Amino acid sequence: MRIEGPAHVIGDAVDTDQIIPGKYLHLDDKSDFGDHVLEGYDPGLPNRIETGDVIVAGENLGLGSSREAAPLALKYAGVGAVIAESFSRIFYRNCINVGLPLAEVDDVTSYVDDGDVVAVDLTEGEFTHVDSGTTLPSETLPPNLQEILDAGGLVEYRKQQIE
Amino acid sequence: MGQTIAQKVIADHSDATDVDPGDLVDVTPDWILANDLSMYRGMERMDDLGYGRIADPDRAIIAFDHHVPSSDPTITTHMNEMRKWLTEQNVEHFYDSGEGILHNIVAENGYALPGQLIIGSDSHTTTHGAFGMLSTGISHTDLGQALGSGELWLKVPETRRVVVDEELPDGTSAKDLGLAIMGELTASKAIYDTIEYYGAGIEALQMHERQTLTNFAVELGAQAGIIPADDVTESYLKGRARESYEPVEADEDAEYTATHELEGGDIEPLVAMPSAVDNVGTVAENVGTTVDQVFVGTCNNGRFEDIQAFADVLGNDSVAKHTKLIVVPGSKQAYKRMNEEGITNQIMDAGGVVNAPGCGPCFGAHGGLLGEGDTCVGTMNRNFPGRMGPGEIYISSPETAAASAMYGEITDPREVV
Repeated sequence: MRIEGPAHVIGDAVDTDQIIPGKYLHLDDKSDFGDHVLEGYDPGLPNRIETGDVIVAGENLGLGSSREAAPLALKYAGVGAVIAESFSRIFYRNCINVGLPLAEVDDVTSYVDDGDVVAVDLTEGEFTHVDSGTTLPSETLPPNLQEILDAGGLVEYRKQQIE
Repeated sequence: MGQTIAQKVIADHSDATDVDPGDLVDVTPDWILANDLSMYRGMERMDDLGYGRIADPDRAIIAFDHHVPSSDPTITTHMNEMRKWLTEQNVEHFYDSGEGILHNIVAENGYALPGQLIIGSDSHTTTHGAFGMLSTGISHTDLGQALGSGELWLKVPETRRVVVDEELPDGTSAKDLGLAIMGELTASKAIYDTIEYYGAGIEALQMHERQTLTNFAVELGAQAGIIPADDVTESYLKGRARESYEPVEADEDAEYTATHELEGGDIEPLVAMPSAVDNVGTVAENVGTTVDQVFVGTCNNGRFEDIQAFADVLGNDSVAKHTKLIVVPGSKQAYKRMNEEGITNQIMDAGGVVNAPGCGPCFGAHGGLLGEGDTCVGTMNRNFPGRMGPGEIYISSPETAAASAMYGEITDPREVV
């Protein structure tokens, strides 16, 4: 699986409250989560993020609450992948479960500026800064988790298994 | 190679005989927990995943604690749907609005036992590691999968040792120790690890204090925090444990990622300053900061003993004129004991309000949100930007919260006579 798109760079320790504030969690139409994505980090971001964009984050992305609305907000906003220096544990599980591609890349924020086009190959475990051609290794998922992600999340994976 | 407690608990709850860090293992937990917030989505996800019934409804514990009492008609409707569904699913361990916070209920009612494995759809499920078990947080799809199948994959964690020598000095409590560990490990050093806590400073802690500490494990990024069961655990569980249990100890030659040593006797009153849990400073260096609101409660410090510690420092004094005080008991049992021991009246007479048992404003939905420019000192576990409204949050012990409420500015509880 290879994903390429323009990057939005965010900092270290961007927590789930910043990704989707608690006041929106009861919204019945989950696609509305996307309208508020990262609003707590930068109120302008929901308007700037377009389908196919990539989020590049520092350490410990998604710390805090267990809310699955956080990766869902990113997914419904059209984000193609999240690349971080490290992920919080529950957020990492949630990304796989909702089918949001993710990759862990050491020190990635020091290579990327806002708007740079980046690519990540989840199968090969390679991150590319497209403009400069710089490549960095990225962590690959264990095969059974990669299968869930490839299916588009745990629900779709289960459907495939049942069929 | 010897095994850590997390390795043993995971192996005990799976088909594996022994497991290594990094392994992904299917486990059957003893208990699956959820709250109003997560159960509604979990219910949807269980359906999406194609499960009609909860595999083992006797092993599910649900409590309504976040939106209590509901401040929104949509949420009330969700709660109504869940009540009906939980009845249809034969879930007997259901605690409705007003019973208190999920984690407090689980501990008080003798569900959490040494050697067990608990997964819960709330990040602060790590709290139950205070009982010598592995207890960890998940979210909605995982909840649907776990309820529907009775199983879930867990990654076997690396384990770190935190060793605290010497008991804590007067005027400090487990919260200050938790903040000291937070300052040492930060919010990212222990990502995906489990932490085992050892030493005389840990052994001296009572069960309510141990829960404060393990509740913080998730803020360290950890999968779980575990305090091995001992006489203190045994005496808390006597007459309370719902079933027999088998404590688990780490092997002498278990392998640890690192050992972090702290001197308990050197701990002083600490705060997490705005707006990160690991932005730890001393109360002394923050003395004089104006406090608009004090909030006592949450799964970190809302047990009866925490509120009693707050009331002991407050004494017969009143809250400063410009400061609001909101106390939210963590459970109905805590609330009733407050009433019996005169603490509810003491707080009201001091100028405070006591709200219904539950999570209170910590989660940012109701019951005392901050205005622009407000500063809150509270006993919660999170102070992320905007979490409780636009104001700023300092996280403290109940003792520091009391001293700060009395003077209307951040105050060292050791200075209050």
